[in-house]
Amino acid sequence: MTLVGGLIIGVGEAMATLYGNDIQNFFHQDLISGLNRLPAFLVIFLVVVVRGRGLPLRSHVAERLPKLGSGEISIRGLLLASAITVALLFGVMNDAWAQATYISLATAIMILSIVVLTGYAGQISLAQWALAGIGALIAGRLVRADVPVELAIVLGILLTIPVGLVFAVPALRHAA
Amino acid sequence: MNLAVVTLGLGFLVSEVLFANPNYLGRSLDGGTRIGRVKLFGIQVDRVLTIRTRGPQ
Repeated sequence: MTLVGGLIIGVGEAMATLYGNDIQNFFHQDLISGLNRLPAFLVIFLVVVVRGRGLPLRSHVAERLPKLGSGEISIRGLLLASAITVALLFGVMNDAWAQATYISLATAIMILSIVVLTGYAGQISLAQWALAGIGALIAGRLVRADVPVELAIVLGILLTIPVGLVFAVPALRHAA
Repeated sequence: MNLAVVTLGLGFLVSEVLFANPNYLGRSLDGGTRIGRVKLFGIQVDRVLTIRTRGPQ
């Protein structure tokens, strides 16, 4: 369901961008900013209105929680999935598909980092994108300064850690 | 929940101050921060640049 929802929002955003001029003409507007962001809000709004079952009651916490897996990583499955992905990227996909896959996989890693934080600390961070962007910016600047890519990636990660600490300190100091 | 509130605010701040500043990232019309052709462990990984130079397939 999550994948389908993401696809619908992604396709909606692409359509809103593609037909942006037609939508502006339809509403007789010279400029409507943020049209490509609108589908995400519309999807959330419709899902909540159509499928919403009201606000949770106080007894909500006593309800049976979803069953979780062990969390153990299957090395065999990981290697198999990695091999299939690399084979598809370099053997089957053209450049456009490969670019889309790179971006999707990088986005998945950023989003999955929330799982680690939630699992270990029970907290939710909403700045994954900002932290990843800072790391990418540092690494990109280093590559432009002729630093080897491999070293630039490591330095980008290391130099982003202090920024992450700046994010974390206020939350730790406020233990309400 | 505390971390969510703090990170939302700081993330928005970083986005507006850093990522929206063309002095740091370059103009988006120029492709942002261009890093040229890149090889990772000897493998060419600059698909985006390849698309720009050859056009979408």
